[in-house]
Amino acid sequence: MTSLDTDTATVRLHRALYSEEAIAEAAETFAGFASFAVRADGEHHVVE
Amino acid sequence: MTRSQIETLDAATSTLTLSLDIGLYPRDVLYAAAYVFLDRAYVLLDRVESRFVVHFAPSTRSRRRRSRHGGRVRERAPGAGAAASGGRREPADHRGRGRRRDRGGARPASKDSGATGLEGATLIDPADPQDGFVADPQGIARPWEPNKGTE
Repeated sequence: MTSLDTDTATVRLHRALYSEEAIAEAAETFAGFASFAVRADGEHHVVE
Repeated sequence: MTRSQIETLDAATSTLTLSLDIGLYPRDVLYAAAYVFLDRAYVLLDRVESRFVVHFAPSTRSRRRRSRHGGRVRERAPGAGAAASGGRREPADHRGRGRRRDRGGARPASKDSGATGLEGATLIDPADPQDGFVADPQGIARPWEPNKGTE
């Protein structure tokens, strides 16, 4: 996890270990609790 | 650098970071091992060059449980380990809790002993056949000899 404050968090997930599909599925699961934005940054997915 | 190594261990936050040589720990094994701890800890997997880096932090539920028992881990949450053991679970009582055994658990840190408070922590209970690694639901511990026909 790269940052965390009261309302937001940013997590960096390595592309070799976390598939984009799995991240999307997780985001969908928790869609009622938070909004998610996923972008690529080198070898990582960055989830905010 | 060693093949596996504790990179950080912070007793104050109960967090731990390990690094593992990717040549020794296949990705599937890493996933399976992480899965075992999901009811007790947040596990973040990462990779830095030729090493997997694994971050552990206690789950909120795990912290509440330790707090209730004065720092000792005495029981798992309802259903804990069930998923990792293929869904098998002991019968629950009327409050939905399975039968429990006293596992001893971690002892509070002593001020002068240099103890971290993590000594003897029962992340895995070897006496519990339903606990992750012992139950081995992924079949990771399957002997290779029969497959190779050597024994």
